Amino acid sequence: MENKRIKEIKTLVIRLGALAAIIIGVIIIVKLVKTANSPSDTPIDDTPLRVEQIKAILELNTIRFRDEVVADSVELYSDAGDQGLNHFNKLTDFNTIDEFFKTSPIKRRLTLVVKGELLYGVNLKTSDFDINNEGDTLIIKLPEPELLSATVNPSNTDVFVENGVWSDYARRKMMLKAKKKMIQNGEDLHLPLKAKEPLEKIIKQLVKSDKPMKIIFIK
Amino acid sequence: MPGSFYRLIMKRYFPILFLFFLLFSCGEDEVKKTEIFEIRQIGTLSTTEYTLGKIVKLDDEGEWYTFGDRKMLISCKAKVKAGVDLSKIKDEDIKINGKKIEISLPAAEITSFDMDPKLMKTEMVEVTGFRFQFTQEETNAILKKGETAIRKEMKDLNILDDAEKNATIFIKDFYKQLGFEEVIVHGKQEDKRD
Repeated sequence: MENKRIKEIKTLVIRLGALAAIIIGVIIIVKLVKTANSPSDTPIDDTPLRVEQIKAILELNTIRFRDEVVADSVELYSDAGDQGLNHFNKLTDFNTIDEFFKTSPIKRRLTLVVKGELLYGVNLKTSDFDINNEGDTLIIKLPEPELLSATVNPSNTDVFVENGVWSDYARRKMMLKAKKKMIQNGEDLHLPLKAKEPLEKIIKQLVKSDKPMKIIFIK
Repeated sequence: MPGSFYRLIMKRYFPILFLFFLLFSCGEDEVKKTEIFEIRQIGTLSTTEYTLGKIVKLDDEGEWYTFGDRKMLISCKAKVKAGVDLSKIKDEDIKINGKKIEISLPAAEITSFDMDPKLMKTEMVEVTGFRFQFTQEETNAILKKGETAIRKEMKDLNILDDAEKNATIFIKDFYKQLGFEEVIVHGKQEDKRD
């Protein structure tokens, strides 16, 4: 009786060991194949850089705003049936195979952490920029400060979570969403208004005149 | 008897197995919402804008043990603005002598670099054999390499010279409007730029 029990325990241990070995083997194979597929070390080909346009501009930037925002897109399974059916699809793609073992209600998710930069100031190319002497006073007319550039680049974009299959279009759309969020943050902080003070400082520094000076912002 | 033994094992080890399952099933990463921002007062005068185009080409043949290869072509554009930082002008850089003014400009620099997502287009993707499709993380990594290449290659262009030339024109006009008859602008020599 005792021997039979020991035998049963041995069989169980061997079976569990075999199962663990299979699981570990599969994990190692998936990791190896994933590493082999990763293009992180593959250099891009040397292609020429084309100059498509050269433009003379005149923008005086007085506020630089650096921001970091999260852009998140989630798609959930509609019901348990949808989850049961589509969850197995994750086994058909090596990129999503490890997601199969997660019992999450999320069908797919893409989360980007995007850093960007906004520049506020005035565009001096407009006709609103003018310098005049009115009697003893120097009148400088400037356009109202505005957002002159909003930059979001791949080097400052990180893919934080990527579950499921996503198109390039979806990623680009999310980067634009992040850009819009940053612009909104800038507006909430009233940055165009805050750009006036350093602008006056720069103009005064450049003019170096003893005459009284008046800066007028044209709307 | 063996049935009751398995039931005993299941009874004892089921909570551990269940805990193990729970641990490995809760894999969804928490999204940390970080909102870091920095506001700085600057004084850069952007005078030149270059629109640059590049085809980012990746030919990933993989390792000797991988079967198949992956190719990707992305066309992208970058808008680069350059100019001078007027806040770097010191008092000793401006010399006034009657109706004559002499001003030394700081070195021209890149004021903004923008690879607009709207102007990026995946032209071609080809994956053969047992290779994986490109993930968005990989595509972004490829674009990062493209951006680095553009930043490196644009140093060979005349963008900083153009920026300095246009800044000189603006400064001359500016002081002439202020009533100066002679305006002399000194630029920074190429080797003195950052």
